[in-house]
Amino acid sequence: MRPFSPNPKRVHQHGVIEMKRSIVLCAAALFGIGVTVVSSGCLGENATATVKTACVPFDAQDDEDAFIAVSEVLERRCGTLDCHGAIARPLRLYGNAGLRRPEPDLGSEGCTVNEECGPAGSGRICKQGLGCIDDRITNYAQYYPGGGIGTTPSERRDNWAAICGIEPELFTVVYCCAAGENVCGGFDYAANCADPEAVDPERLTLVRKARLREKHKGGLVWNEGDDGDTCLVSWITGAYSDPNVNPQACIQELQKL
Amino acid sequence: MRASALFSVALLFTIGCANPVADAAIEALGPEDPAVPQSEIHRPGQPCLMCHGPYKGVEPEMVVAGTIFAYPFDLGAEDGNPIPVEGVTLEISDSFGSTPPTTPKTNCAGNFYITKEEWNPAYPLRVAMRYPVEGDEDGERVSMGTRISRDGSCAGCHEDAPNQGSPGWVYCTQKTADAPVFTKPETCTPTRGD
Repeated sequence: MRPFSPNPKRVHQHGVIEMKRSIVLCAAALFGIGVTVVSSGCLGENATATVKTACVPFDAQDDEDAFIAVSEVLERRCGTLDCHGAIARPLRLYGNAGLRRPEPDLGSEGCTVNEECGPAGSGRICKQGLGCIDDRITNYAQYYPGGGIGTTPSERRDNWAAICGIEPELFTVVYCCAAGENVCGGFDYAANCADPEAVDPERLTLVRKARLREKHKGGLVWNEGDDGDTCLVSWITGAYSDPNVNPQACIQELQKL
Repeated sequence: MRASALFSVALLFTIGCANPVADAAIEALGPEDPAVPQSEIHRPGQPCLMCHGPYKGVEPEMVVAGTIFAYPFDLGAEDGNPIPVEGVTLEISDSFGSTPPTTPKTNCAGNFYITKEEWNPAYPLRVAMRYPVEGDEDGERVSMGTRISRDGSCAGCHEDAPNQGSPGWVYCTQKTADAPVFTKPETCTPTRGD
Protein backbone atom coordinates (compact mmCIF):
# COMPACT_ATOMS: atom_id res chain seq x y z
CA MET A 1 0.00 0.00 0.00
CA ARG A 2 1.25 3.48 -0.87
CA PRO A 3 1.27 5.95 2.05
CA PHE A 4 -1.48 8.47 1.78
CA SER A 5 -0.22 12.02 1.41
CA PRO A 6 -2.49 15.00 1.96
CA ASN A 7 0.09 17.33 0.36
CA PRO A 8 -1.25 18.19 -3.12
CA LYS A 9 2.22 19.22 -4.28
CA ARG A 10 3.64 15.81 -3.41
CA VAL A 11 0.70 14.10 -5.05
CA HIS A 12 1.33 16.16 -8.17
CA GLN A 13 5.02 15.32 -8.16
CA HIS A 14 4.26 11.68 -7.59
CA GLY A 15 1.83 11.78 -10.52
CA VAL A 16 4.53 13.22 -12.79
CA ILE A 17 6.96 10.50 -11.76
CA GLU A 18 4.29 7.85 -12.42
CA MET A 19 3.61 9.37 -15.80
CA LYS A 20 7.31 9.39 -16.72
CA ARG A 21 7.56 5.78 -15.68
CA SER A 22 4.57 4.92 -17.86
CA ILE A 23 6.10 6.66 -20.86
CA VAL A 24 9.36 4.76 -20.39
CA LEU A 25 7.51 1.44 -20.05
CA CYS A 26 5.37 2.23 -23.06
CA ALA A 27 8.42 3.13 -25.16
CA ALA A 28 10.13 -0.08 -24.08
CA ALA A 29 7.09 -2.11 -25.05
CA LEU A 30 6.87 -0.40 -28.45
CA PHE A 31 10.58 -1.02 -28.99
CA GLY A 32 10.05 -4.68 -28.16
CA ILE A 33 7.14 -4.97 -30.61
CA GLY A 34 9.22 -3.22 -33.27
CA VAL A 35 12.11 -5.62 -32.80
CA THR A 36 9.72 -8.57 -33.07
CA VAL A 37 8.14 -7.22 -36.26
CA VAL A 38 11.53 -6.51 -37.85
CA SER A 39 12.89 -9.91 -36.76
CA SER A 40 9.94 -11.70 -38.28
CA GLY A 41 10.95 -10.19 -41.60
CA CYS A 42 14.32 -11.94 -41.36
CA LEU A 43 13.05 -15.30 -42.50
CA GLY A 44 15.50 -15.73 -45.29
CA GLU A 45 14.17 -17.61 -48.29
CA ASN A 46 10.98 -18.54 -46.42
CA ALA A 47 9.90 -14.90 -46.46
CA THR A 48 9.44 -14.91 -50.22
CA ALA A 49 8.60 -18.58 -50.73
CA THR A 50 5.33 -19.30 -52.50
CA VAL A 51 3.16 -22.34 -52.09
CA LYS A 52 1.46 -23.57 -55.23
CA THR A 53 -1.92 -25.15 -54.76
CA ALA A 54 -4.20 -26.93 -57.17
CA CYS A 55 -7.82 -27.96 -57.24
CA VAL A 56 -10.13 -29.93 -59.47
CA PRO A 57 -10.67 -27.71 -62.52
CA PHE A 58 -13.97 -25.87 -62.72
CA ASP A 59 -15.42 -23.61 -65.38
CA ALA A 60 -18.31 -21.65 -63.85
CA GLN A 61 -19.69 -20.74 -67.27
CA ASP A 62 -19.79 -24.36 -68.46
CA ASP A 63 -23.27 -25.73 -67.76
CA GLU A 64 -21.96 -29.29 -68.16
CA ASP A 65 -19.16 -29.02 -65.60
CA ALA A 66 -18.98 -31.96 -63.18
CA PHE A 67 -18.83 -29.63 -60.18
CA ILE A 68 -22.40 -28.40 -60.73
CA ALA A 69 -23.89 -31.63 -59.38
CA VAL A 70 -21.36 -31.77 -56.53
CA SER A 71 -22.13 -28.19 -55.60
CA GLU A 72 -25.84 -28.88 -55.56
CA VAL A 73 -25.39 -31.82 -53.22
CA LEU A 74 -23.28 -29.72 -50.87
CA GLU A 75 -25.73 -26.82 -51.10
CA ARG A 76 -28.58 -29.06 -49.98
CA ARG A 77 -26.80 -31.19 -47.43
CA CYS A 78 -24.33 -28.71 -45.95
CA GLY A 79 -25.28 -25.21 -47.08
CA THR A 80 -28.52 -24.87 -45.16
CA LEU A 81 -29.17 -21.49 -43.58
CA ASP A 82 -28.55 -22.84 -40.09
CA CYS A 83 -25.18 -24.40 -41.00
CA HIS A 84 -22.71 -23.61 -43.78
CA GLY A 85 -25.25 -21.23 -45.26
CA ALA A 86 -24.89 -19.04 -42.17
CA ILE A 87 -22.65 -16.01 -42.55
CA ALA A 88 -20.83 -16.68 -39.29
CA ARG A 89 -19.60 -20.15 -40.28
CA PRO A 90 -16.48 -21.19 -42.18
CA LEU A 91 -16.84 -23.12 -45.45
CA ARG A 92 -19.60 -20.79 -46.56
CA LEU A 93 -21.81 -22.26 -49.27
CA TYR A 94 -24.25 -20.34 -51.44
CA GLY A 95 -27.13 -21.53 -53.54
CA ASN A 96 -30.83 -21.72 -54.18
CA ALA A 97 -31.31 -24.10 -51.24
CA GLY A 98 -29.64 -21.78 -48.73
CA LEU A 99 -27.88 -18.48 -48.43
CA ARG A 100 -27.71 -16.43 -51.61
CA ARG A 101 -24.48 -14.80 -52.63
CA PRO A 102 -24.77 -11.07 -51.85
CA GLU A 103 -25.87 -9.35 -55.04
CA PRO A 104 -25.25 -6.78 -56.40
CA ASP A 105 -21.55 -6.28 -55.65
CA LEU A 106 -21.03 -3.77 -52.87
CA GLY A 107 -20.28 -0.29 -54.19
CA SER A 108 -21.23 -1.12 -57.78
CA GLU A 109 -24.49 0.85 -57.80
CA GLY A 110 -23.12 3.45 -60.19
CA CYS A 111 -22.00 1.03 -62.91
CA THR A 112 -22.90 1.90 -66.47
CA VAL A 113 -21.30 -0.80 -68.63
CA ASN A 114 -20.68 -4.54 -68.19
CA GLU A 115 -16.91 -4.15 -68.41
CA GLU A 116 -16.99 -2.40 -65.05
CA CYS A 117 -18.32 -5.61 -63.51
CA GLY A 118 -15.82 -8.09 -64.87
CA PRO A 119 -14.12 -9.25 -68.05
CA ALA A 120 -16.21 -10.49 -70.96
CA GLY A 121 -17.33 -14.05 -70.36
CA SER A 122 -17.23 -13.71 -66.57
CA GLY A 123 -21.00 -13.75 -66.37
CA ARG A 124 -21.08 -10.49 -64.41
CA ILE A 125 -23.17 -7.72 -65.91
CA CYS A 126 -24.18 -4.21 -64.99
CA LYS A 127 -27.85 -3.89 -64.18
CA GLN A 128 -28.69 -0.20 -64.39
CA GLY A 129 -29.89 1.22 -61.10
CA LEU A 130 -28.93 -1.96 -59.22
CA GLY A 131 -25.23 -2.67 -59.78
CA CYS A 132 -23.06 -5.57 -60.89
CA ILE A 133 -24.90 -8.88 -60.70
CA ASP A 134 -24.70 -12.38 -62.16
CA ASP A 135 -26.27 -12.43 -65.61
CA ARG A 136 -28.43 -15.44 -64.64
CA ILE A 137 -30.40 -13.25 -62.21
CA THR A 138 -33.11 -12.35 -64.65
CA ASN A 139 -35.66 -11.49 -61.96
CA TYR A 140 -34.04 -9.95 -58.92
CA ALA A 141 -37.24 -10.28 -56.85
CA GLN A 142 -36.90 -14.06 -57.15
CA TYR A 143 -33.31 -14.11 -55.88
CA TYR A 144 -33.85 -15.65 -52.45
CA PRO A 145 -33.52 -19.16 -50.96
CA GLY A 146 -36.04 -21.38 -52.73
CA GLY A 147 -36.92 -18.57 -55.16
CA GLY A 148 -37.20 -18.77 -58.92
CA ILE A 149 -33.52 -18.10 -59.60
CA GLY A 150 -31.45 -21.27 -59.43
CA THR A 151 -27.91 -21.40 -58.10
CA THR A 152 -25.88 -18.98 -60.22
CA PRO A 153 -22.40 -19.56 -61.71
CA SER A 154 -21.07 -16.85 -59.35
CA GLU A 155 -22.40 -18.81 -56.39
CA ARG A 156 -20.88 -22.05 -57.68
CA ARG A 157 -17.55 -20.34 -58.25
CA ASP A 158 -17.55 -19.15 -54.62
CA ASN A 159 -18.54 -22.63 -53.42
CA TRP A 160 -15.68 -24.14 -55.41
CA ALA A 161 -13.26 -21.64 -53.89
CA ALA A 162 -14.57 -22.38 -50.39
CA ILE A 163 -14.15 -26.14 -50.84
CA CYS A 164 -10.73 -25.95 -52.45
CA GLY A 165 -9.56 -23.30 -50.02
CA ILE A 166 -10.45 -24.79 -46.68
CA GLU A 167 -7.27 -26.91 -46.59
CA PRO A 168 -5.55 -25.86 -49.82
CA GLU A 169 -2.21 -27.62 -49.37
CA LEU A 170 -3.76 -30.90 -48.26
CA PHE A 171 -6.41 -30.70 -50.96
CA THR A 172 -3.63 -30.21 -53.50
CA VAL A 173 -1.86 -33.38 -52.37
CA VAL A 174 -5.02 -35.53 -52.33
CA TYR A 175 -6.23 -34.23 -55.68
CA CYS A 176 -2.87 -34.18 -57.48
CA CYS A 177 -1.83 -37.62 -56.23
CA ALA A 178 -5.18 -39.07 -57.31
CA ALA A 179 -5.04 -37.27 -60.65
CA GLY A 180 -1.74 -38.87 -61.56
CA GLU A 181 1.73 -37.77 -62.55
CA ASN A 182 2.13 -34.61 -64.66
CA VAL A 183 -1.46 -33.42 -64.16
CA CYS A 184 -0.61 -30.69 -61.65
CA GLY A 185 2.15 -28.51 -63.08
CA GLY A 186 4.95 -27.82 -60.61
CA PHE A 187 3.70 -30.45 -58.17
CA ASP A 188 6.37 -32.83 -56.90
CA TYR A 189 4.48 -36.08 -57.50
CA ALA A 190 7.29 -38.42 -56.48
CA ALA A 191 7.92 -36.68 -53.17
CA ASN A 192 4.28 -36.21 -52.19
CA CYS A 193 2.60 -39.33 -53.47
CA ALA A 194 4.98 -42.13 -52.48
CA ASP A 195 2.81 -42.95 -49.47
CA PRO A 196 -0.34 -44.73 -50.72
CA GLU A 197 -2.31 -42.95 -48.00
CA ALA A 198 -1.53 -39.59 -49.59
CA VAL A 199 -4.52 -40.02 -51.82
CA ASP A 200 -6.89 -40.97 -48.98
CA PRO A 201 -9.70 -38.38 -49.15
CA GLU A 202 -10.41 -38.88 -45.48
CA ARG A 203 -7.35 -36.79 -44.77
CA LEU A 204 -9.56 -33.84 -45.66
CA THR A 205 -11.63 -32.31 -42.90
CA LEU A 206 -14.41 -31.76 -45.42
CA VAL A 207 -14.74 -35.51 -45.94
CA ARG A 208 -14.23 -36.49 -42.30
CA LYS A 209 -16.78 -34.05 -40.89
CA ALA A 210 -19.55 -35.22 -43.22
CA ARG A 211 -18.80 -38.83 -42.22
CA LEU A 212 -18.78 -37.77 -38.57
CA ARG A 213 -15.29 -39.21 -38.15
CA GLU A 214 -14.57 -36.08 -36.17
CA LYS A 215 -16.77 -33.72 -34.16
CA HIS A 216 -19.31 -32.05 -36.38
CA LYS A 217 -22.09 -29.88 -35.04
CA GLY A 218 -24.18 -30.70 -38.11
CA GLY A 219 -23.94 -34.40 -37.26
CA LEU A 220 -23.69 -37.35 -39.63
CA VAL A 221 -24.39 -36.13 -43.14
CA TRP A 222 -23.58 -39.44 -44.81
CA ASN A 223 -21.56 -42.61 -44.28
CA GLU A 224 -18.56 -43.63 -46.33
CA GLY A 225 -19.77 -45.03 -49.64
CA ASP A 226 -23.22 -43.39 -49.50
CA ASP A 227 -24.33 -41.52 -52.60
CA GLY A 228 -23.46 -38.09 -51.23
CA ASP A 229 -20.07 -39.29 -50.05
CA THR A 230 -19.33 -40.95 -53.40
CA CYS A 231 -20.44 -37.79 -55.20
CA LEU A 232 -17.99 -35.61 -53.26
CA VAL A 233 -15.06 -38.01 -53.01
CA SER A 234 -15.16 -39.09 -56.64
CA TRP A 235 -15.02 -35.44 -57.69
CA ILE A 236 -11.97 -34.80 -55.51
CA THR A 237 -10.14 -37.93 -56.60
CA GLY A 238 -10.94 -37.57 -60.27
CA ALA A 239 -13.41 -40.43 -60.69
CA TYR A 240 -16.02 -37.88 -61.79
CA SER A 241 -15.03 -38.63 -65.34
CA ASP A 242 -16.54 -42.10 -64.89
CA PRO A 243 -20.25 -41.69 -65.75
CA ASN A 244 -21.13 -44.65 -63.53
CA VAL A 245 -19.82 -42.85 -60.50
CA ASN A 246 -20.60 -39.24 -61.05
CA PRO A 247 -22.91 -37.43 -61.59
CA GLN A 248 -25.05 -40.52 -60.99
CA ALA A 249 -24.23 -40.62 -57.27
CA CYS A 250 -24.95 -36.91 -56.94
CA ILE A 251 -28.28 -37.27 -58.71
CA GLN A 252 -29.26 -40.20 -56.49
CA GLU A 253 -28.36 -38.19 -53.39
CA LEU A 254 -30.47 -35.26 -54.58
CA GLN A 255 -33.45 -37.52 -55.13
CA LYS A 256 -33.56 -38.30 -51.39
CA LEU A 257 -35.91 -35.77 -49.87
CA MET B 1 -8.97 -9.02 -0.13
CA ARG B 2 -10.05 -12.65 -0.42
CA ALA B 3 -13.68 -11.57 -0.67
CA SER B 4 -12.95 -9.20 -3.53
CA ALA B 5 -10.98 -11.92 -5.34
CA LEU B 6 -13.88 -14.34 -4.96
CA PHE B 7 -16.26 -11.64 -6.17
CA SER B 8 -14.08 -11.02 -9.23
CA VAL B 9 -14.00 -14.73 -10.09
CA ALA B 10 -17.77 -14.97 -9.64
CA LEU B 11 -18.22 -11.90 -11.84
CA LEU B 12 -16.00 -13.38 -14.55
CA PHE B 13 -18.05 -16.57 -14.57
CA THR B 14 -21.28 -14.56 -14.76
CA ILE B 15 -20.01 -12.46 -17.65
CA GLY B 16 -18.66 -15.58 -19.37
CA CYS B 17 -22.10 -17.18 -19.43
CA ALA B 18 -23.81 -14.33 -21.26
CA ASN B 19 -24.18 -14.34 -25.03
CA PRO B 20 -24.65 -10.75 -26.19
CA VAL B 21 -25.60 -11.82 -29.74
CA ALA B 22 -28.37 -14.11 -28.51
CA ASP B 23 -29.47 -11.51 -25.95
CA ALA B 24 -29.75 -8.85 -28.67
CA ALA B 25 -31.70 -11.24 -30.91
CA ILE B 26 -34.13 -12.01 -28.09
CA GLU B 27 -34.49 -8.32 -27.32
CA ALA B 28 -35.26 -7.64 -30.98
CA LEU B 29 -38.24 -10.00 -30.83
CA GLY B 30 -40.06 -7.34 -28.84
CA PRO B 31 -42.56 -7.63 -26.01
CA GLU B 32 -45.43 -10.08 -25.69
CA ASP B 33 -48.71 -9.27 -27.47
CA PRO B 34 -50.97 -8.22 -24.57
CA ALA B 35 -53.95 -9.81 -26.34
CA VAL B 36 -52.32 -13.24 -26.37
CA PRO B 37 -51.64 -15.22 -23.20
CA GLN B 38 -48.10 -16.46 -22.69
CA SER B 39 -48.91 -20.01 -23.72
CA GLU B 40 -48.72 -22.47 -26.62
CA ILE B 41 -50.20 -19.85 -28.95
CA HIS B 42 -47.89 -16.94 -28.18
CA ARG B 43 -45.33 -15.38 -30.52
CA PRO B 44 -46.28 -17.23 -33.74
CA GLY B 45 -43.63 -16.98 -36.44
CA GLN B 46 -40.82 -16.25 -34.00
CA PRO B 47 -37.78 -18.49 -33.34
CA CYS B 48 -39.09 -20.48 -30.35
CA LEU B 49 -35.75 -21.96 -29.30
CA MET B 50 -34.25 -18.53 -28.67
CA CYS B 51 -35.92 -18.77 -25.27
CA HIS B 52 -37.14 -22.38 -25.14
CA GLY B 53 -33.69 -23.69 -26.06
CA PRO B 54 -30.44 -24.57 -24.33
CA TYR B 55 -29.33 -20.95 -23.92
CA LYS B 56 -32.28 -19.53 -21.98
CA GLY B 57 -33.74 -22.87 -20.96
CA VAL B 58 -37.28 -21.50 -20.56
CA GLU B 59 -39.67 -24.35 -19.79
CA PRO B 60 -40.68 -26.33 -21.69
CA GLU B 61 -37.29 -26.73 -23.35
CA MET B 62 -37.89 -27.55 -27.01
CA VAL B 63 -35.86 -29.30 -29.71
CA VAL B 64 -37.98 -28.47 -32.74
CA ALA B 65 -40.69 -25.83 -32.85
CA GLY B 66 -42.29 -23.41 -35.26
CA THR B 67 -45.33 -21.99 -36.96
CA ILE B 68 -47.03 -23.06 -40.19
CA PHE B 69 -48.83 -20.46 -42.26
CA ALA B 70 -51.23 -21.01 -45.15
CA TYR B 71 -49.61 -18.98 -47.91
CA PRO B 72 -46.24 -17.32 -48.59
CA PHE B 73 -45.51 -13.90 -47.15
CA ASP B 74 -47.64 -11.42 -49.10
CA LEU B 75 -45.28 -8.64 -50.10
CA GLY B 76 -48.28 -6.40 -50.77
CA ALA B 77 -49.43 -6.54 -47.14
CA GLU B 78 -47.47 -4.79 -44.41
CA ASP B 79 -47.52 -7.80 -42.07
CA GLY B 80 -47.41 -10.33 -44.89
CA ASN B 81 -50.99 -11.45 -44.08
CA PRO B 82 -50.19 -14.40 -41.82
CA ILE B 83 -52.93 -17.04 -41.78
CA PRO B 84 -52.04 -19.83 -39.36
CA VAL B 85 -53.09 -23.37 -40.22
CA GLU B 86 -54.36 -25.69 -37.53
CA GLY B 87 -54.04 -29.46 -37.80
CA VAL B 88 -50.84 -29.64 -39.85
CA THR B 89 -48.92 -32.78 -38.92
CA LEU B 90 -45.14 -32.87 -38.96
CA GLU B 91 -43.12 -35.89 -40.08
CA ILE B 92 -39.64 -35.55 -38.65
CA SER B 93 -36.80 -38.04 -38.42
CA ASP B 94 -33.21 -37.68 -37.30
CA SER B 95 -29.97 -38.92 -38.86
CA PHE B 96 -30.39 -42.35 -37.24
CA GLY B 97 -34.01 -42.72 -38.33
CA SER B 98 -35.46 -41.94 -34.91
CA THR B 99 -38.83 -40.14 -34.82
CA PRO B 100 -40.75 -38.30 -32.08
CA PRO B 101 -42.92 -40.56 -29.90
CA THR B 102 -46.06 -38.71 -31.01
CA THR B 103 -46.70 -36.87 -34.25
CA PRO B 104 -46.53 -33.12 -33.66
CA LYS B 105 -49.57 -31.16 -34.82
CA THR B 106 -50.17 -27.42 -35.12
CA ASN B 107 -52.65 -25.54 -32.95
CA CYS B 108 -54.94 -22.65 -33.88
CA ALA B 109 -51.97 -20.25 -33.91
CA GLY B 110 -50.17 -22.54 -36.35
CA ASN B 111 -47.64 -23.35 -33.60
CA PHE B 112 -46.20 -26.79 -32.85
CA TYR B 113 -43.36 -27.99 -30.69
CA ILE B 114 -41.48 -31.06 -29.50
CA THR B 115 -39.86 -30.93 -26.09
CA LYS B 116 -36.39 -32.18 -25.29
CA GLU B 117 -37.94 -34.48 -22.71
CA GLU B 118 -40.01 -36.17 -25.44
CA TRP B 119 -37.31 -36.53 -28.07
CA ASN B 120 -33.63 -35.67 -28.29
CA PRO B 121 -32.71 -36.04 -31.96
CA ALA B 122 -29.31 -36.31 -33.63
CA TYR B 123 -28.94 -33.73 -36.38
CA PRO B 124 -29.48 -33.43 -39.30
CA LEU B 125 -33.26 -33.86 -39.42
CA ARG B 126 -35.54 -34.64 -42.34
CA VAL B 127 -38.85 -32.81 -42.30
CA ALA B 128 -42.12 -33.09 -44.16
CA MET B 129 -45.58 -31.83 -43.28
CA ARG B 130 -49.11 -32.76 -44.18
CA TYR B 131 -51.67 -29.97 -44.25
CA PRO B 132 -55.43 -30.51 -44.13
CA VAL B 133 -57.42 -30.39 -47.35
CA GLU B 134 -61.19 -30.50 -47.33
CA GLY B 135 -62.52 -33.77 -48.74
CA ASP B 136 -59.13 -35.49 -48.53
CA GLU B 137 -58.50 -37.20 -45.21
CA ASP B 138 -54.80 -37.73 -45.97
CA GLY B 139 -54.26 -34.06 -46.70
CA GLU B 140 -51.40 -32.80 -48.83
CA ARG B 141 -47.81 -33.73 -48.10
CA VAL B 142 -45.01 -31.23 -48.60
CA SER B 143 -41.40 -32.07 -47.82
CA MET B 144 -38.53 -29.74 -47.11
CA GLY B 145 -35.89 -29.78 -49.83
CA THR B 146 -33.01 -29.54 -47.37
CA ARG B 147 -32.30 -30.87 -43.89
CA ILE B 148 -32.41 -29.04 -40.59
CA SER B 149 -28.75 -29.03 -39.66
CA ARG B 150 -28.64 -27.52 -36.19
CA ASP B 151 -31.37 -24.95 -35.48
CA GLY B 152 -34.63 -26.44 -34.22
CA SER B 153 -36.50 -23.15 -34.63
CA CYS B 154 -38.26 -23.01 -38.00
CA ALA B 155 -38.08 -19.21 -37.84
CA GLY B 156 -34.34 -19.37 -37.29
CA CYS B 157 -34.12 -19.64 -41.09
CA HIS B 158 -37.73 -19.09 -42.24
CA GLU B 159 -38.00 -15.51 -41.19
CA ASP B 160 -40.97 -13.40 -42.38
CA ALA B 161 -40.48 -12.01 -45.91
CA PRO B 162 -38.13 -13.78 -48.31
CA ASN B 163 -34.74 -12.17 -48.77
CA GLN B 164 -31.21 -13.29 -49.71
CA GLY B 165 -30.86 -14.94 -46.30
CA SER B 166 -34.37 -16.31 -45.76
CA PRO B 167 -36.87 -18.28 -47.86
CA GLY B 168 -39.68 -16.57 -45.95
CA TRP B 169 -41.96 -18.14 -43.38
CA VAL B 170 -43.10 -21.78 -43.65
CA TYR B 171 -46.26 -22.07 -45.70
CA CYS B 172 -48.51 -24.84 -46.97
CA THR B 173 -49.21 -23.82 -50.55
CA GLN B 174 -48.89 -21.04 -53.08
CA LYS B 175 -52.01 -18.88 -53.23
CA THR B 176 -53.24 -20.09 -56.62
CA ALA B 177 -56.82 -20.21 -57.89
CA ASP B 178 -57.17 -23.92 -57.08
CA ALA B 179 -55.35 -23.80 -53.72
CA PRO B 180 -57.27 -24.73 -50.55
CA VAL B 181 -58.86 -21.72 -48.86
CA PHE B 182 -57.58 -20.99 -45.36
CA THR B 183 -58.91 -18.22 -43.15
CA LYS B 184 -57.76 -16.70 -39.88
CA PRO B 185 -59.53 -18.28 -36.89
CA GLU B 186 -61.87 -15.90 -35.04
CA THR B 187 -60.79 -17.21 -31.65
CA CYS B 188 -57.84 -19.22 -30.53
CA THR B 189 -57.73 -21.13 -27.27
CA PRO B 190 -54.34 -22.17 -25.95
CA THR B 191 -53.83 -25.88 -26.60
CA ARG B 192 -50.83 -27.79 -27.78
CA GLY B 193 -52.58 -29.03 -30.90
CA ASP B 194 -51.62 -32.69 -30.84
